[in-house]
Amino acid sequence: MIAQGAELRAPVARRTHTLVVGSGAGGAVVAHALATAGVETVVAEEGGWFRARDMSQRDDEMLPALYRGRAQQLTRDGMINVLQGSCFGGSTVINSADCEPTPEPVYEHWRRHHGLALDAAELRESQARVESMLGVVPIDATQVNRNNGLLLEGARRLGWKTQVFAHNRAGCTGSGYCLIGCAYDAKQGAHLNYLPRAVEAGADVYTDVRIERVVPRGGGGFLASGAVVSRGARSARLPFEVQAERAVLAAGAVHSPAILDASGVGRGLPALGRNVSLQPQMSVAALFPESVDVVAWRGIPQSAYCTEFDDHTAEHGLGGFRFEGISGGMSQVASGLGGFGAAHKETMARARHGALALLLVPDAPSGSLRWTRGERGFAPRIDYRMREEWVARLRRGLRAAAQAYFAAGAREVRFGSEVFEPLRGEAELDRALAFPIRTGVTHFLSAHVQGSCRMGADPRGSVVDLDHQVHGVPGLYVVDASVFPTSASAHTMIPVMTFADRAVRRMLARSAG
Amino acid sequence: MEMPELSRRVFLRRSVQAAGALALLPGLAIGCAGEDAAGRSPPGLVVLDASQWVVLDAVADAFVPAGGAFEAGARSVDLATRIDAFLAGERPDVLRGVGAALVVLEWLAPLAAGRAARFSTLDLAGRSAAVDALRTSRIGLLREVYAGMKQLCLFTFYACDAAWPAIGYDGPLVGRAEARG
Repeated sequence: MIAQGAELRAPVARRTHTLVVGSGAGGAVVAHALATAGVETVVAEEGGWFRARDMSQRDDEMLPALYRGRAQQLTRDGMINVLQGSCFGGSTVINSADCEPTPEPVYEHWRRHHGLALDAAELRESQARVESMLGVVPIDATQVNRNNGLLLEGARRLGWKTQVFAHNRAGCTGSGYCLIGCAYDAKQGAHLNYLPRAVEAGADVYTDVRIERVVPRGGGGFLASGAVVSRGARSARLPFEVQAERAVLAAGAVHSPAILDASGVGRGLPALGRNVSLQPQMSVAALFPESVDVVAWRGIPQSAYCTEFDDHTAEHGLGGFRFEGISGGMSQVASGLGGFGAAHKETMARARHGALALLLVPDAPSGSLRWTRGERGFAPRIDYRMREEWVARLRRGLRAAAQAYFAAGAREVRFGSEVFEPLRGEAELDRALAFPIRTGVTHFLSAHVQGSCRMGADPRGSVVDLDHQVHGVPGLYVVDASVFPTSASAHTMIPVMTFADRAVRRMLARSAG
Repeated sequence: MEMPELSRRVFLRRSVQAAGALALLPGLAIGCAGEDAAGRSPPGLVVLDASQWVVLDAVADAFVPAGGAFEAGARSVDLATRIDAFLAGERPDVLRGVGAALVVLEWLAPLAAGRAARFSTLDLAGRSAAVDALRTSRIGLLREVYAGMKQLCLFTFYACDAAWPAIGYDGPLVGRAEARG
């Protein structure tokens, strides 16, 4: 059963064995495995259920509908737009469908520096199951559009290593609207596989339902409480309660810790809401001559990337930097381009000849979260500090990305800044090494928020144990990107699902035992 | 008309949200834009009051003026009214932020550009200079107001079908006969 909030007319009070909060990459995998194993399962998803026919391919309609905070969730200084899906299927509905597992050096980093006794064979098996369910295949060379192709071309001319992503699309039409929901059901998000199969196996899914507290009960189990919310504004409409033997929080790295905090579970867990990685990304826009018709908005938005500067080691985990082709809706592109007025219009008039990439610079955890609770749920305060070493890598990355574009024939290259003058040739590349970072005029986005409920053996420095169970609270689990001790990958869907598959199998084994 | 009293608290950076602006003290209104604001604003506004609409209309025109590379501009698509509708689903703190940003633009931005007049009374060159003064300001708050209002104006303008032909964007494919569904 899938019950949408608008269909609910009276307060809901349910009993179940397992409550799963959130239906994204973590929650969907858990719900599917539990339901398939015959465990009575209820899923509560705060966002709405949107099907292919609902995807209008318009930024102004789909961004507010599918993203957390109407796609305007920002760090406290306003500098980083923290993007998260918030709908049936979560971020798997709005991501770029890039399938990148956690690199082995990152696992090794977690083993050596965070005490995670991760079994390589177990992880491989989980990853294989996930990739099979999603139908992960390499993107065919014919599906690499001009926008991504120019990046490849430039990097290859410089002798730099490049790669084409693996993805979870089937029958892609190349419409280019992946980031605001696929209108053709080509992107195989959790809303098309794990979740419907969980429902077939007996799970009940409620959409438009916000869980705000999951409180341990004296005699065992949990009482979860929240509200059925209105679609859009997300105002509380009706009380919603679930009594469950087990609760799995999979509400994402910003909201899972908020629920723990509101439930009083955070006391005694000083790491709750800390050690947050945002993996900030910056746009790199290149303008080509009029003879180069890029039309970046058509085709797979993100298919190729330069791996020359990846630097993943067991010592520091994910490192270096990389740049990846990207495109987005015209509204997003326009508001991210520097400047305003007549000059901005001139740039937009040449949009067909513009190529776009994102520079992704993995970070060491340096953020923290706090929350206030109101009538529309949790309002997060995301504090984030950029370390000097990270800023230096960012600047080197901007220089390298611009160099690749100039090698491909670009006339000018711009970054996500309102004050940094475009680079107009290779002779100006070194200006990137002094790229200014100032609130209000420097724009970053984060699509991979991680941390906040870090996994580890010691409750003094972590929130969940190696089985994803909250320290000191038997039966309460966290299964999403919040458990990663550091950045797991440049793209987090496969890492989250792999961990979720591992986690739920351990839950089932524990139950069987 | 005197400038509204903006206490120091208004300028403390709080949850910088959709408008990239600051939250406003409850109840503080623009109280500006001339006594005829009601007559200059359209009926049926959802979240803005008439004074706010007048300021936003002037701001939007500065961010996306008519003419230049292509004719369409903020006023040709009634951008201020579209933004009013777009803001309808926003949280109250965000709406307060937008209101505060408009206060800053109306009263402080001209001063930052060396002009002793309200923003909504300036000509386009004056308003552009005021917006640019926010962009290049040494005060983080003013830069944040610039960024927030720019985001709001440009995002909403380029979401309009009328803006697309000039930039070569052919719009959504859903509903078209040739698109495979």
